[in-house]
Amino acid sequence: MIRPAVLFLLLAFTLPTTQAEQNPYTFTEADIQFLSMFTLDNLPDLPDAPSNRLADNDQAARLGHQLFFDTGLSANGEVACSTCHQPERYFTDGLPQSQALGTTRRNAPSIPSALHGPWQFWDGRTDSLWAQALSPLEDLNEHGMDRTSAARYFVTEYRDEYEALFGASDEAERVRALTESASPKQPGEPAQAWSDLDEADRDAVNRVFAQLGKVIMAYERKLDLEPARFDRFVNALQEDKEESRLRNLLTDDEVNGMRLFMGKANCASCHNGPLFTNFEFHNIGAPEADRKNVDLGRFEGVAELQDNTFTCLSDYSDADPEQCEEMRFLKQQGPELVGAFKTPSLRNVNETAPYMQAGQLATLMDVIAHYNTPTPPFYDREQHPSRPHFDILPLKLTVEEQEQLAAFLATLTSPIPDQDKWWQAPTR
Amino acid sequence: MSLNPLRIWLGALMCVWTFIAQAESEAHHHASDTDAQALMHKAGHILSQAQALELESVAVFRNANDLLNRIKTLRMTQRELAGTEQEAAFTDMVNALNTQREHWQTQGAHLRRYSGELKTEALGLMEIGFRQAWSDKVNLRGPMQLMPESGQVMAHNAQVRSVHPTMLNRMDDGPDTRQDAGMTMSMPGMSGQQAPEDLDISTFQASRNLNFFAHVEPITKPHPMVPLNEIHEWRLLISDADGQPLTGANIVIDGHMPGHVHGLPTQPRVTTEVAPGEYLIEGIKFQMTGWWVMQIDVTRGDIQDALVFNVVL
Ligand code: HEC
Ligand code: HEC
Repeated sequence: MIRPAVLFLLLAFTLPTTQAEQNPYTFTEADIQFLSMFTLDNLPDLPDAPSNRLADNDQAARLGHQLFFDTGLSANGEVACSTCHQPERYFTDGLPQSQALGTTRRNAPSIPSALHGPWQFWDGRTDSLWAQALSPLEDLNEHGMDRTSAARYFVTEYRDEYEALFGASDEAERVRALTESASPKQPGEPAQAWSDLDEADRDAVNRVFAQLGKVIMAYERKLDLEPARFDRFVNALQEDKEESRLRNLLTDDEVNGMRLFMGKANCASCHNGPLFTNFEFHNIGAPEADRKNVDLGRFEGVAELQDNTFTCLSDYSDADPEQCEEMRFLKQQGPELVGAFKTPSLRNVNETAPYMQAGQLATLMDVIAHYNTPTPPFYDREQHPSRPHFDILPLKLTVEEQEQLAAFLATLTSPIPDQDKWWQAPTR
Repeated sequence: MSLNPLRIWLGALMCVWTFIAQAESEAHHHASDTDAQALMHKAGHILSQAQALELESVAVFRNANDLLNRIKTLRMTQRELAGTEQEAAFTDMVNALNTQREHWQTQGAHLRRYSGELKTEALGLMEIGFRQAWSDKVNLRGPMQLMPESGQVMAHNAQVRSVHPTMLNRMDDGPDTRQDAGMTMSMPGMSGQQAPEDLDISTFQASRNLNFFAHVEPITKPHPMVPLNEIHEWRLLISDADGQPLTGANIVIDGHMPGHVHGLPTQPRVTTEVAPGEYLIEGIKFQMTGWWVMQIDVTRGDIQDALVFNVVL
């Protein structure tokens, strides 16, 4: 004969395990430990930047702040970095492909979540934020400025600020004396003018141009992210696991979506760590944006890195060559590079539509549908050096599960920090 | 079937015992009376014996298999003979053959096991040799291990399965996930690349054709351990089969994860020969935990050979 009290005890011991499977809000210590690897609390300090000695200089950051928003740094006086990287849109522009002097080939990524990886751009064709910043300035679809004029503008318009950081440098003086519109990147007259410059002038222009990038980088490194609902949820789990508090932070669907993201949907195999990216290059078979001119992704990025004038290994870097490990041991070949793109951070992703390298997918539901029933990458033997690899598998998620996944992604949105001056246009 | 597997087996056993005995006495002898090169030389001999035994085990297994096929045909005849006078005698014969086959199967397994034991023995000798010859350079004890994470925990270590185009039709299974004890959440699994239990993860290895012996270890502080997702250096020590440091070798490094198309995210290489036979490998980075196979191709003069190190992180 079993007495009721014993029965009750037995029940009390068996219940929690069955409940754990049902109640999405029940998490074990091991679960919480696992989830904590994805929170901003665990974001490491910004990576060392030996190639830019001003990377963490506040004065440089203030100057970079001005430059980032300065439309004077463009051929028509209307384009600034902030044209396509708008703070109120988490430093994106809401367009599939950006528009300035022309239309860009790719989609503008968010910047605050891009500060930690070793490579910049979808194809990783630059190895630092400062080298990255130089590329849109000379791009005829973007700022459309020639290198010499950009450098001259910098040392003329910002002379005091420049001298406070770099002194009255020889290169600045040389650059101010030049009247040419010369650039090695712009075919026709600017390229001709560039090759007509003497060696010392070209070097001076490159030096000042690199300094311009380094100052902008110092600004970008100030762009912090505040905790998103997801981070606060995990913090709440770490503190007391009080269910009503948890429910106020994430809904049932969002919690289920989180469980799918980490588990069955396999997203966390690439989108992991506090920024939800492994910083690696993969081919997930996103629809080819232009079948007549296929995007070779990392395959081209690696080639461009090797003849980029402004890498960590270049004369314009502040690093000793030994410090440039990523460049020295750059993986230069391998079939997995073809059509592979950098895994983007998913922080704030709900606010940064459209998606993928050319904005091919309009909504998060479109993205998830692609992952659910992926089509292998487009292959054209005329254009591809080899058949692209394919790094994802079909998921077999129900529509409800797909919606939960999308709901979870929306919990990764950090509030726009209204009080943070770096997120506003500067006051000059 | 001209050669008698039983004889091979007995012969092999004798070899094994003599070698193990020799090796052991050699090892003890050595601990006091330093002669690292002789030790490595001996290890080389034992290894070639181990390889010969392995080959013999393959031959024995092949015989057993051939016999199995014969038996299958005979069994058919046996069924046709059901109810006839010959049936009993025929069945006895087939059963006898089958017993023989089972013997061979066991013998093959024995040979293989002894070969394995010899190999372990030899690698042990080699390790002692390396520790004597390069006492200040060999700091690692046991296999390579992952550095306990500093803050960043799991980030970037989950596996990605890269499907080779020829495998697209095998994609129906979907991704693997695993759920660890004590967790209600599942997380990305390590599809198709779980390291076998008996995987040889020694950092002391002989090259495929026994031309070279080598040891690798990470050069990290405070202990030699492998950091995740961080470029770091390895020390590679190589000797020739006589235990002499191998100088001026040309070395190419390649790493991959079995079951994945993806290789290392960087291209590591030897940057200097720091001292005779001691090479510095720079640019190593692992972006995932799991089973990595590091192949090191070594060329010296006309001799070309490959070293393979399994690393389980
Ligand atoms: C015309 C729009 C436009 C302008 C102007 C522009 N960008 Fe971009 N930006 C883009 C696009 C498009 C990409 C992606 C290009 C690619 O990957 O090939 C990008 C990529 C980047 C990235 C890389 C982020 C990552 O995740 O890899 C950074 C950082 C960045 N831009 C900063 C800047 C800075 C600094 C400036 C001003 C000097 C600037 N951008 C001007 C459109 C623009
Ligand atoms: C194999 C690695 C990998 C896996 C697994 C993976 N992703 Fe991605 N993800 C990427 C890469 C690489 C891109 C960029 C691809 C491109 O532009 O072609 C990307 C892009 C995205 C984007 C677009 C982001 C933007 O800013 O444009 C979203 C959203 C996304 N992934 C969500 C997910 C979700 C949800 C899952 C799980 C269902 C998932 N990913 C699984 C690697 C992966």
